Amino acid sequence: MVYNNRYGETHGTIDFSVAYADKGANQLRQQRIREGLGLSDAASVTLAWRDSLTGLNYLRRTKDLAERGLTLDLHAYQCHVFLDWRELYSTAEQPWDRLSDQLNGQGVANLEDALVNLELQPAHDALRAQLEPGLVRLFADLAEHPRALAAGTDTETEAKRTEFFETAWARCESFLRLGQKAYLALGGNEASGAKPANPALLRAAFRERLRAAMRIPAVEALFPAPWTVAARRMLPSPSPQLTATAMWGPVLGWCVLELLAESIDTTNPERVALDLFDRLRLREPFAQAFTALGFEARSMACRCPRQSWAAYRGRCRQAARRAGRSHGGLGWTSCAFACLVARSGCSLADWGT
Amino acid sequence: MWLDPDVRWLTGVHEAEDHAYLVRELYEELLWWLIMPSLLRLAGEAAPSRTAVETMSRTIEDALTTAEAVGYRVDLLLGPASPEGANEEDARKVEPLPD
Repeated sequence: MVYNNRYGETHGTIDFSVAYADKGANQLRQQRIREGLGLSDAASVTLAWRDSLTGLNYLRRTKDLAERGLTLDLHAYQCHVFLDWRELYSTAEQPWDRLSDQLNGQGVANLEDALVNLELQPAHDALRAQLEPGLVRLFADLAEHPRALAAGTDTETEAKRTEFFETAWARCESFLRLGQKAYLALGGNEASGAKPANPALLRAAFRERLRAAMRIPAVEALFPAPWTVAARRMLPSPSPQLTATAMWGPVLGWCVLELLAESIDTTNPERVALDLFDRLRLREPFAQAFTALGFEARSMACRCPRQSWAAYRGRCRQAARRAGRSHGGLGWTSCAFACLVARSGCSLADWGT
Repeated sequence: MWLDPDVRWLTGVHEAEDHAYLVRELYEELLWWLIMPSLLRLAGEAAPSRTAVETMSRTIEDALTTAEAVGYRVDLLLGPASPEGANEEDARKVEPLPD
C-alpha cells in the first residue's frame, strides 16, 4: 500500500525495505524489492500487478524493477493498493515485455485487451497517417480545384495531383498490408475463408476511387434539386457547410476502409468493412484523426439545443457503457462520425430493423 | 441499429413522455451520409445516370416522409410490432424504408 498523506504531489522510488533486526547476526538488515517479491532474473519476465482501488493493471520488466526499484508519482492524498503480483513470460503471441515498454508505467483496465491494442498499433498508426491533416488538406485543395480532374491542363496542378496520389497511395498500401495482417491474425476471415488480394495490385483501384470522390461535388448538379443544408454538412459540395478538411477527411477514410474491405472479400465488402471496424478497433484511430481534422469545432449547442451538452454526453456515455464500449477521452462528434464511416456501407433498409 | 449509442446520438434520439424521438435535421444528415458509398460509385462512372441520382434523392425523401408520418418516434420507425405499444393508427402509417 502506498499513500501520499499531504496536500501536494510527491515522487519516489521503493527499492529498499526499512531495516529489521537480524538477531542471529546481531545487526540491522534491509531487503531490496527484488528479494522481497522473489523476482526472477530472466530478461523475458515481466511483472504484473493490480491496483485494487482503481482496478488498473500495471506491467514492469522484472529486470528493471530489480535494478531500479518501483518509481511512483502520487497526487495529493493519492493511494494505491497493489495486489495480485505475478510474473508473466513473454512469447511471440503474448509479448508482455513489449507491452510493458509501450505502457511505460501507465495502468490499463485489461492487460489482454491492451495486448490486442499493441498488435493493432501499426495498423492504427498507418490509418492516422492516411488521414493526416496535411494530406487531407491537399486532397481537399485538389478536389475543389476546378481543373484538378482534367489531365494535362495545368502543370502545377498536375504535379500537385501526382504528388498527392503518390503520397496517399504509399500510406494506403501500408494501411492495407497492416490491416489485412491484423485482420487475419484476429481470425477475421475464418467464416469466409477468402484470401486477401495483394495490396500492391490495388494501386489503380485506389486512384480511381479518389478520382471518383473528387467528382462528388459535381454530381450534385445531377440531383433534381440543390442539396439541402444537411446534405452539404455531410458531403463535399461546391458550397459546403464545414471546413474542407472536415468534409474530405471522412470521405478519404471511407475510401481506404472500403478498399481494405474489398481487398479481403470482394463479395461482401459492406459486411467486412463493419467487421473490420470492430475487429481492428478502428473507432479510436478514426476518431483521433477526425479530431485532428477539426471535428470538435462543431457547435454542440446546435446539435442538442434543448439540453446541456454535458448532461447529454453523460447519457450517451451510459448508453455506450451498456453497449460494452469505451470511448476514452475522445470527442463524441469524432467518435460517432468514425462509427458513421464504418456504417456507410449499410443499406438504408437496415434502419427499419 | 437504432439501439447503437452512436446512431442514437447522431440522430439526436431523446425521450419525451415515455417515447423515443429523433431529430429530423440530424436524421437527414445521417441519410445523406449513408448514400455516400452509392454516390462514390456513381461519381466513378463515365456518365453518371440521372435515374440513379433520382432514386437516391427519392430514397432520402421517402425516409424523411416516413419519419414525419410517425411523428419522428423511433419505436414506430422500428415497425408496427413495436413493444412500446404503438397505437394501431400510428402503426398503419409506418411504411418500410426503401431498399
